[in-house]
Amino acid sequence: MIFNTITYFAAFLLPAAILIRRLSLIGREWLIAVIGALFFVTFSITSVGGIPGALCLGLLLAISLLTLAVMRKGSKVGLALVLAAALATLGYFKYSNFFLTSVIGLSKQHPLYWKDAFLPLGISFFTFEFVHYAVDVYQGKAEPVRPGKFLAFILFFPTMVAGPIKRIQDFSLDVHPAGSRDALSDWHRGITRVLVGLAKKFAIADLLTAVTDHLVETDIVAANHRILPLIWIFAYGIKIYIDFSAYSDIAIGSSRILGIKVPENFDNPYGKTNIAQFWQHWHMSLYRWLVDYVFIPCGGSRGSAVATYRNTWIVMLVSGLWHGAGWQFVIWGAWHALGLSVHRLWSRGGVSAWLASRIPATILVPVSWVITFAYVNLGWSFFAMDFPTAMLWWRKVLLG
Amino acid sequence: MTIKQQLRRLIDCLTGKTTDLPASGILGYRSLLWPIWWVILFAIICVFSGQSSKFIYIDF
Repeated sequence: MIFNTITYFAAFLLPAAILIRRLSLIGREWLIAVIGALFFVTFSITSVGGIPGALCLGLLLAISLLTLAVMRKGSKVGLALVLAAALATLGYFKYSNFFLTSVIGLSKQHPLYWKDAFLPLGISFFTFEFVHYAVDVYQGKAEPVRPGKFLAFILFFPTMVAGPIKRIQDFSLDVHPAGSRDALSDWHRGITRVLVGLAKKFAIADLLTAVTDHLVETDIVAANHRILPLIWIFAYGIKIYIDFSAYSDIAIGSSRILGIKVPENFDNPYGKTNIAQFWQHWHMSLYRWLVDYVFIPCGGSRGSAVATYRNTWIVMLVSGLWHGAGWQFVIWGAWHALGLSVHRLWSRGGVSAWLASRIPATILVPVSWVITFAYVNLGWSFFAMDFPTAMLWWRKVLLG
Repeated sequence: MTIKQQLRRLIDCLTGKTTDLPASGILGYRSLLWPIWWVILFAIICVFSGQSSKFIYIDF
């Protein structure tokens, strides 16, 4: 929830937007950091409880202080420490139970299994930004920043929970003074974006929930026609896009109301005509993060063709596992890795050029779009359902 | 500018994606279009709010 609550707007966004333009740069940094900390604890109360929330905030602040301290010199050891602390925290909260039960094979009754496991608010996105800052400072792509600016960056509340994933080089708190034309422009554009996001969320995404609720075992078994499970998954595909783009609209609009620009996350991904383009326009800040901090460190596309395919698979499997600690998410990642590999093989092998020279664009482009749209949406079956239910769904669709 | 480009520009303006608006005209800051558009959006929000759902990505 959060973004569709009155508390978010009345207690956090509006006071921050009024105060931020009346403070010095240093004051703005600390204002954002303090409000971000309050935001974290407030919204943790409803999900995990106040005390666990405060303890998690303490943990994230400890990693922040460690990052600030060790990355001042930008040493390799410092980088390793930050990566270890950030990834171990994410691994513990998000993947420990998955590892114990699905990888090692322990039962849920085993003493090591964490029965009351919870996810701290925005833990994945904190991790992304810790890793980005440490790697970029180490590589000399970013300068170490003041503690106030770093905490404002890490605890920036509009993007804290689900992005867009920011970059320290682009994160500027040089907001326009109150009453200036530029400040009015920020308010105007920000309010428009937030209202559009809320309208998309309530009027389209939430309405589609009534259709996507059918993606459960009993409804799939009971479906009279195989077209029904297909309609449900396509509705899910539209819902997840509207839902997450609405979320991003509100995050980007809120940031703009504060006078701060953050990256875009979507650029008409369902309008694209191949799977590579889809990924370049879907959750763009995550895609760029995966390219910069997973794909390129693995060798990117500079090595042999086999190495490029291997790196593509690594990125998509990591992306899948990031989306959820379960085998169905790994399979979802593999589904997209397969699509990207086939597309690369297809375009590098000259098939695209051969087709383009023989089939008119008026036919080729719509057909490419249909194939891409269908492939992406069929892939959501592994995202929307657990693996056995997804298999049941496929059996129903293919065999009736 | 083609009709498609004009339509895209209009949609970007109405959805808040355009970072800056023209100083004057129908899409300008002082245009009556904006309060009307905001009222429409607010009405949509009020009509459809209250459904129990959460943002899908929030727990990741």
